[in-house]
Amino acid sequence: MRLLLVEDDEQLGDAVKAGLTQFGYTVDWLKDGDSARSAIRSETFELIILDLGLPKLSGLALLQSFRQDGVSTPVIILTARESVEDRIKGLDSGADDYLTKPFDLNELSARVRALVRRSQGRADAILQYRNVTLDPAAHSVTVDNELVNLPRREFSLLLKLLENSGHVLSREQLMQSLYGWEEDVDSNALEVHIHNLRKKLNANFIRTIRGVGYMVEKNG
Amino acid sequence: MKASIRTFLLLNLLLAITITTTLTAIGNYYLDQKDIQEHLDSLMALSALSYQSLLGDDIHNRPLQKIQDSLEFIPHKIENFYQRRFLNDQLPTSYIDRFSFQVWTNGGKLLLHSAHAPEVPLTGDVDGFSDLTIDNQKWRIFTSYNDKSGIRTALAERYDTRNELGHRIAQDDLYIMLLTFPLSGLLIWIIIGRGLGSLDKVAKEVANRAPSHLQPVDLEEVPEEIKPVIDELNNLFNRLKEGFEREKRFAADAAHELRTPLAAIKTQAQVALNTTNENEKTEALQKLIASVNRSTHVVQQLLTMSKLVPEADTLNDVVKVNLVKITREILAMIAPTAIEKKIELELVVSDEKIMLNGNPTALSILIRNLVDNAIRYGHENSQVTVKVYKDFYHVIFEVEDNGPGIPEELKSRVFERFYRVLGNKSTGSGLGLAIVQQITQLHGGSISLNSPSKGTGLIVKIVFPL
Repeated sequence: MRLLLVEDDEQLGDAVKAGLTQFGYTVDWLKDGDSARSAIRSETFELIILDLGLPKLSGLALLQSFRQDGVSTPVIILTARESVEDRIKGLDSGADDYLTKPFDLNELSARVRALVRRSQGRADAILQYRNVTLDPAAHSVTVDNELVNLPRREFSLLLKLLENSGHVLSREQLMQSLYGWEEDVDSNALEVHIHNLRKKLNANFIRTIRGVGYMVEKNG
Repeated sequence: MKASIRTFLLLNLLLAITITTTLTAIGNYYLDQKDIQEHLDSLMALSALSYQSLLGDDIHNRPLQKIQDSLEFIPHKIENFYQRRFLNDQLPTSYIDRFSFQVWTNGGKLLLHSAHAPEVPLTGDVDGFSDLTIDNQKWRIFTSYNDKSGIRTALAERYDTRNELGHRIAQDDLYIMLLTFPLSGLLIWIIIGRGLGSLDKVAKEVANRAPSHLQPVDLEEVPEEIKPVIDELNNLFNRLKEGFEREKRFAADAAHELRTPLAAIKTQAQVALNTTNENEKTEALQKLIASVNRSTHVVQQLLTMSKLVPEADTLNDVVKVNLVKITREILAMIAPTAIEKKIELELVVSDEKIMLNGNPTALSILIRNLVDNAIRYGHENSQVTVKVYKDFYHVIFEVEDNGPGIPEELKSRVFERFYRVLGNKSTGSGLGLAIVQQITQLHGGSISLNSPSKGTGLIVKIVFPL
């Protein structure tokens, strides 16, 4: 799952990126409002974590501008401003959630999961497909109630596919979701992950659409 | 505490009234006495001359015995008269025998006299007024001689009677004074109270204020006399208000500015907790320590700032400072950090002794902040040059680095509190240049940010007046 973190503070940005990566997210980090606006216009993120005190373009102005552009990506505001007025202003400007610094990393991760789930129109936190169950919060996958250990990226790939069951996901979409702007990614990496998933889950429900991408059929 | 104004005024005004009225009473007594004596004298002269006229020139043909009998009866008549008119009033019989008259012949025979009149002649040596003492009683006498009948008429009045009137008037004055004295006190008390009422009003206005209400007292509502006091009070209110606002801003700034580093610390701690990878854990913990150091730096700078600001318009403890000496001391202290970053630190001075009037602590903070910034933002393997020199009117302190410099459009913004130039990887508090500017202003100096003629970098130039 690919998130955009917009935070001008070096140390905090670095820490949040590291923390969310541990939870299996792909985090792209930008440090000013201007470049964040360009990135949001040109790329797809599943969620945006936004600091308000940004240089060049304030967080609120950025939020209002891309909401006007019709970008409906869930947004969590992360800020030192804690007054009720500030919270209201943030939420009314188009934010979906509001966390004040210092926050809890686990809580931030949970709120990210909840918002992504809601944006996909699901209420149930646990994803299920035939004999496979995926719990994003517990970061666990079971096959026939047997726990299967999946590395971070394979877990993210499975999550992404299950979340979008019935839809074909392009190779590019999946790569972005897994690696963001990470460089030096092996061009075979995605195929290797898919292969591993099929083997570990003993499942053939991940279908290859040649020349297009991959998909999981609609549940049923 | 000094005695109350009310008590002071009351006691002193009463004392003043007592002194003036006593002096008035004494003065009145003597003047009255003189007036009374003159008045009585004129009455005496008038009466004596009238008697003489009534007796006429041929007194020997008058029924002298009958007249004398009638004269003897006068005291009784007076007694009756008094009893009718004044009923219970005490008859001043004593007055009757203190006022006498005698009619003498040339040969020294007493023809007529008032009842109770003394036997001895009450005649003076000459006509007119004279004094005489008989049996230790002093008398005032008026004598008149008729050439034609050879009769001498004398009117006499005892001095104690004459004086008694004056005494009684003085005594009555004294009674009235004693009676009005408490009334004066009461009136003074009320008047002072009313006069001080406006003071009370001001006192209540101030006393009933909430601690946070520091609006100045309206001078229109205040009596002229205490305007200077209220003026000073208003000044104090203003300074307090500024002080409170500074404290509030400091607290808000501190709370706000520490939130981000605290968030970083907490997140780094949780990253360390959440991982099983040893390397990742160590890295997170090292970053956490760096964040703690940065928070400490922010706190230190905030404290420096808050210590500086209260004397915003004045500078305390101004002494003669050798700027070269303290610059050298501070560079020696900072040098290890520069070496660690492979930055070459150099001090260039025009004189060994460049004196400046200033606060040594504040100047040290200024120097440390500027050199610290230069090292913090300078590239590795670069150079930081500190210059101290002077001309006829100024002392100049300059720090040059060849770091990234500050873009022209941001040069005015970097003095704002908590402003940080974007894109630098350093972890400043955003307060350094604000502090430097404050100290410069306190010393009456000016600060400018320039770019070096070659390459990138920043020259901070501070000019102090001599």
